[in-house]
Amino acid sequence: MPQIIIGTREHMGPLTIQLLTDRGRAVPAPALLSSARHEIKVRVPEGDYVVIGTRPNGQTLTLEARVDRNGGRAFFSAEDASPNEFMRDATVLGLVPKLSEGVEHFPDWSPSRFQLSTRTGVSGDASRALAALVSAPSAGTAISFTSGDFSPGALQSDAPSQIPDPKASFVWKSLAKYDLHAPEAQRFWIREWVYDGSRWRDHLDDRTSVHVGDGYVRVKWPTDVEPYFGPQPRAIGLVSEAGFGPIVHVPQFRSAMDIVFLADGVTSVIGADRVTNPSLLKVPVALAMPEDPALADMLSVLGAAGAPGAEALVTQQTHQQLDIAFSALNDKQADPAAAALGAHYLLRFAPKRIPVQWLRNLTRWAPLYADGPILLAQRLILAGGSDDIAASPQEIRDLLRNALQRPVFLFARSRSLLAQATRIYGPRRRTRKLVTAVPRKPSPAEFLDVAAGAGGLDAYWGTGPGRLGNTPRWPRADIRERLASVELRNGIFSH
Amino acid sequence: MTRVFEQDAPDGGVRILILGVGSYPNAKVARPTVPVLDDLSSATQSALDLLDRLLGPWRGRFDKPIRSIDMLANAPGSPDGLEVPDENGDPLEVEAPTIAAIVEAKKRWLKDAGPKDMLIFYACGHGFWVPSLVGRTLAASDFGEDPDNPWTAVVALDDFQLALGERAPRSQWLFFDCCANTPSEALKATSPRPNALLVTMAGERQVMIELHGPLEQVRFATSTIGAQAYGKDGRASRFMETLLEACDGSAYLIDHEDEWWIDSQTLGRSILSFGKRIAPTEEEDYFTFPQVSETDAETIPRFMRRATPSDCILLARSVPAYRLSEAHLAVTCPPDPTPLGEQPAGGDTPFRQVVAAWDHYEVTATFPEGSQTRPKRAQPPLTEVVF
Repeated sequence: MPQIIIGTREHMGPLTIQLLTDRGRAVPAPALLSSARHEIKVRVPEGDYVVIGTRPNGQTLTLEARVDRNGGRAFFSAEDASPNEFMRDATVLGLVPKLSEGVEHFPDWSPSRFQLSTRTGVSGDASRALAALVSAPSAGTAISFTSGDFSPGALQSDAPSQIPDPKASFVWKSLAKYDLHAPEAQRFWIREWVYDGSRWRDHLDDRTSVHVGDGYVRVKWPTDVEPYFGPQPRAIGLVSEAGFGPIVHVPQFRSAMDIVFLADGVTSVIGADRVTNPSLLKVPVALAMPEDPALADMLSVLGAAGAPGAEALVTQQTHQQLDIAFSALNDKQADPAAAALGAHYLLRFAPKRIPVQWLRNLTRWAPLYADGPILLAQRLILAGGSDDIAASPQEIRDLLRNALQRPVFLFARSRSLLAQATRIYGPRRRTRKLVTAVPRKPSPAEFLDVAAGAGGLDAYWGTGPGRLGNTPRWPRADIRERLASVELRNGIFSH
Repeated sequence: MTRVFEQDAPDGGVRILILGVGSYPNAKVARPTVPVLDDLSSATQSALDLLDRLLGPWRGRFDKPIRSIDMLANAPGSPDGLEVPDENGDPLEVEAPTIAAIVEAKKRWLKDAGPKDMLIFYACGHGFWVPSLVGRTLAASDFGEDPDNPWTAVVALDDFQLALGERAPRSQWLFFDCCANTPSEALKATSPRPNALLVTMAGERQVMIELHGPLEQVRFATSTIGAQAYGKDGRASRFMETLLEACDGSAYLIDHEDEWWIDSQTLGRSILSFGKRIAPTEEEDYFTFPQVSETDAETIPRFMRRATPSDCILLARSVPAYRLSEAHLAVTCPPDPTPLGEQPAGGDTPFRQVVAAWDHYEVTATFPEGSQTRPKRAQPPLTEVVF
């Protein structure tokens, strides 16, 4: 019997595969292609076939293939136009929905070009989040709110219709209000911070490169950053003159990493009230592009609404003949960030496969990261304990308390898991008895209220790592140290 | 009374719980802790339409027989419950979905539920997202009855979903058809304690997996966080209209062993494309809304089946849009030159034609300056042709 070869371009990212005859009949076939396994072979009778590939962002790709006695081939490639040239890599990877042919451009009131993908019916991260923001509410029943609490800001007056959401107004009061149509340019600064063991401090790393394009600012960290044992957690922000903007925590993988801030996302600050669900629906302010395709695969699938066959990624062979997620977990001493990502992936799709002891080690070896104890607590919640660690509510609560005390979160999913777990298991926030000069540390869930999308990395709107919103809490320091400054005018960045 | 249908299903059956909260008699006046909640005729209509389908054309389409349907609903002008038709068309009184009634209905819904059962949960009514604290919620019909603590009459949907995954039934479909925005009264509440209906137990999820197999839980939420769900007076909710259309006919896209199945992905594709495929032009925006679905299932979960496949809508449009109105349009299925459908110049745009799925078609647009033909394979539910 001949065979059909179904393949993807390398670095195209994960693709859930359905193989159908030309009349729609399902043919059993392996479910998942990825950067590690970008070709599968299935023996089928001669005839015409349809191959449907679904990407983690929900985008559906369809190919037709004819199989004759010599076989057949269906090859997925992301050759369609990306929303912007600089997003090409992210589009290929599946992090950004592609533009469909013939799509119409929106009227000028659209605050973001990401909405284009909504109109074409592609349910990607950006499209889903922004569709909720900008869709005009049609006639229908709705909650009535008491007046006085809802005071539209400058942004909303330019919106095509009132968005009747007082929560948004609450958040807007604590955020800067960008005037999207101001004739003058707005200046932003790129700031980098490192955690020195006791606090976040401004940091300038000569090895970090910054490239400014029309609609983006790309920040790249090289591969030869300091060994991660004894790590210095890093964060980066694109902040306005008031010191406010999106803040992204950057996992220090051993391989290189790009963070690309998006002008469309930065100006869509009305999206700052996005909070999480397993699909991480937030307005994207930045794209996160790990150089290692295996890490990129895991990051994109982790953010998917659903990924049938995702567990297969765990067992697929890399070119080094190692399982992807397990290899990352094996390197937890040398690359704790990759280990945490691998653990997140396994936790979602195969929790029983993570040894409890590995997560205890991760918790110990990366003491600044909250991800370790959160993952361990979740492992116990979902899959129970092991011989040496019980899965009692008290044990879980102690782990969550430990996590709350740690200053750094690598991934957005960690915060959402912590918020959910503390809601069920505690510890409960106690009422403050004293008024102190030190501001209250925000809860993990409060970070979610002003969360931003950065490809699954921990990101939010604020004035620095751990500083949410634009509410003055600490004396605002002058911005003395910064990597670069850029000007934003009409959605275009420039030096 | 909540049970509107039941029958024996010794080898497992489908257990359905429908909540249609159409009236909030205790939330008509704004108070410091209680927002005003308008009545929702669309919530009532959604519940009634769903029941009608389940007792009618959908009845034999699940993999298992329908074992039970429990329903709670009220309506504007009928806050204490309403009459619904049973399987014979006779009137049956169902209670209003107060929190107490929801708890009792939940007990009946899950009583003796085993791993071979399939659970379907549908809730339509006012919902809140409570930031920082709770998550998605559904307001029961007695919300506001106790203004000192209105949150006792609220269901914590996210926690409910989590705990449901620790119950024996391995196939679970949840539809949260409610808003997820936040009135200021919810923002200011310092410690709301809604009712999750079920309690979670550490490690129990894995115990169930080891005993009964992997969990296939699918959730559809009809609004993203911070956004509202919508419905029009006298009609079902926006989401329910698309769900009904999908399960009536447009989402049966995959043939497994001579039966055409709706699964979580085809259901999503059908809902996503409704605006373009079906909706009148003036409602296309209304029906373009984010699809918020999630599942961690290992394989693509299947929902319903039937013997015949869905048709496909062939949609022709142009860039710019007005240009298509200048063309005469014709759809043919080669080699037969006879048009299956055609439209003279000046007709509606975009142009839609129902065709059999998977066949090859040609769409010809004859403009004043000449003709253009686009060959296309009709991949269901929607295939677009752009001129």
